[in-house]
Amino acid sequence: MRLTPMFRKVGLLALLTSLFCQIQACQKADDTPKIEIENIWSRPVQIENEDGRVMKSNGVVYLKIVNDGEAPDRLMSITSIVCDVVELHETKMNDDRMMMQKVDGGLDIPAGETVEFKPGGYHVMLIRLKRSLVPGDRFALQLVFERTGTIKVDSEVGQP
Amino acid sequence: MQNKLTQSAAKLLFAVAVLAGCQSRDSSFKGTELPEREFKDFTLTDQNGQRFTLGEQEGKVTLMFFGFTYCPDVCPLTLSTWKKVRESLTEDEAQKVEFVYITVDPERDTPEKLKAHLAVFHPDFIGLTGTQEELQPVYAGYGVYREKDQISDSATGYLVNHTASIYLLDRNGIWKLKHSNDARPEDIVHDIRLLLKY
Repeated sequence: MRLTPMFRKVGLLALLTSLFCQIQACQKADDTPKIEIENIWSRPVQIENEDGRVMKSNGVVYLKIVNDGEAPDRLMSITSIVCDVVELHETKMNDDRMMMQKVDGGLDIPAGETVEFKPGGYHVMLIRLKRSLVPGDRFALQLVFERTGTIKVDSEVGQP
Repeated sequence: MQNKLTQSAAKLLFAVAVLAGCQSRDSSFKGTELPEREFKDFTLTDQNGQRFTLGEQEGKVTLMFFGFTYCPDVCPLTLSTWKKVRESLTEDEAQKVEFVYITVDPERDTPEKLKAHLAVFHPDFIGLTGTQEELQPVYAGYGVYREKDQISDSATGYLVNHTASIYLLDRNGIWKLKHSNDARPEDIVHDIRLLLKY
C-alpha cells in the first residue's frame, strides 16, 4: 500500500511532536536539585546531674549536604524529637576569638556542590536535649528543603 | 702527633655541633610562645564545689581553656582534643599535668553543670566557675576576651563570644604557650613534654 502525501505529512508531524515532547521532558527532569545527606554524627552529652535531675544542655550534629542535581535548593529548617528546638549556627573565628551566629532565612545548597557542617563552621545546634546522648546512640532528624521537601535521617553519636 | 690531636678535636667539635643541632630541633615548641609575664594567682570553685587555687598546684604543667557548656561546637572540640592528649600521656606524665576548663558563662555553668559536662570526656578534667567578681580579674589578668551576645530570635537566649585558644602554663604557673582550639593533639603532647623538663 502506498502512503498518500497527506498521510506522510501527518506522520512526520506526529514524529516531530513526539521528539519535541521527549526533549522537553528530559530538560525538565534535569532542572531539579538532587539532595543526599551524608556523614551524620553527634557528640555525646550528659544532661543529668548526680541526682538524676535534668539540666539544660545542648548538643550538636554535623553532616554533609550533597546536591548532585542541576538546580539549587535551600535548607529551611531541621527538627528532631531529641530536643526542644533545632537551630542552624555558624562558628566564626577572628584571630583567636570565637563567635557563633544563628543562620536565619535558610541555607543555600548550590547545584553540583556540597555544603559541609563540621567543627569550627556550620553546625546543627540541638537546644535543650530531652535525653543524654551516649556513644553508639542514634536519633532521628528531619531536614526540610525548599524544593526537595523533607528528608529524614539518623544521626549517630560518636566517641567524645 | 699534633695532627692526630687536631683531627680528634675537630671530630669532637663536629659531634657536639650535630648533637646541639638535634637538641635545638627537638626543643622548639609547636605552639606560639607568649610574651613573658609574671605569675598571676587566682582561686575559683571546681565542679565538686571545692576551692581551686592555681598557686597550690604543686609544680604541675597546666592546660587552660576558657569556654562554656552551652557551646556545642568549639568548646567540645577542645575537650575532645584534650581527651586525646590525656590518653597519649604516660601515667607518670599525667600525674604532673592538669586540664583546667574555666567558664565564661558563670550564670549557667554551675559546679554540677560543669561536672556532668566534663564527665563525658575525662574524670581528670577540672571545671572552674565562680562569681563575676572572682572571674573578671582572671579574664582581665590573662587578656581573655569574653562578650555576652544576646540573640533575640534564638532559643539559646544568649551565647558568649570568647577567646578560644588553649593555653599551656609551666610548672611555676606562668603562661608560656598557646595553641589554637583545633590544634593537633600530638603537638600539644610535644609541648607538654618539653615543659615537664624545665
